[in-house]
Amino acid sequence: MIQLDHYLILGAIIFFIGLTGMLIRRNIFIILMCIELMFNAVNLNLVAFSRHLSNLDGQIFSIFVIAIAACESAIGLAIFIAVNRNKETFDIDEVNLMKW
Amino acid sequence: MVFYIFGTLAFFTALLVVTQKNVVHSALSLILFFVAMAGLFISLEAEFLAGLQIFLYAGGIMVMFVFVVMIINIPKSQREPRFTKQRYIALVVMIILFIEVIYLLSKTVFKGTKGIFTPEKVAKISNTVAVGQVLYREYLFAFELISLVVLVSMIGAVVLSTRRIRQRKSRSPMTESGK
Repeated sequence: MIQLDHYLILGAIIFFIGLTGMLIRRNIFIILMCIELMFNAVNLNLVAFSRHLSNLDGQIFSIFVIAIAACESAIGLAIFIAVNRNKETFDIDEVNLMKW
Repeated sequence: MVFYIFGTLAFFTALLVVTQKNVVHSALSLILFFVAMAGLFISLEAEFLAGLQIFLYAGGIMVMFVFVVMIINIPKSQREPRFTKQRYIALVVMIILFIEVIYLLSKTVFKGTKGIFTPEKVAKISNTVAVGQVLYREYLFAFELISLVVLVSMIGAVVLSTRRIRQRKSRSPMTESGK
């Protein structure tokens, strides 16, 4: 039986890969994908704790996280399509319409 | 053993998502990552969640991603600089934070009262039945609320992605000339 710590460390590694990718990539789609990576790391932690404490609440929370992730990526892609109509770019450094 | 196979698969596919140059390639790596995650969920005896992961993520969200990537043309000139200006600062800060989190994890002892759903009890009634019982008894109100959130996001996505069509007809030719 694999210990709880293994799952937590794997979750931390994946979360930080996602967070680093979100900060360093320029492409908007990759940034959304990195957010999905972070959601999955959180789900892994929740399920690992659910198994560890023999309590199913963690799995229920994961179901809610998956639903919110679906909503978030739908809204995010719609926003990017709207931005793309105004400004033909996918570079996150150039989308600064609301900056000044 | 299952943990190490799917764990290394998840790790390397997650790295590929971040480092690939082509967006479609990283979308495909992300699908493989979701499948590896489903394998990890199965090793944690959460079979319902593993199925949900493949249906919703690999089947639903990624299809949406790939479709949007395909209908929108990304010019080749914009693919070239892959990383933002703050990449070195971001990398250093993330490595420091990661070491900090690993240190905290190694120092923490996780306690807590055990729940009633022991693996033997869940195995008797199957994981899906147990999740359904908890979801529709204790979390019924949250479940209804999440359906409302999904409805709002659906309406929002439709409104956001169709609003420009009406305005484009009334646009002056001055703003069109940039294209």
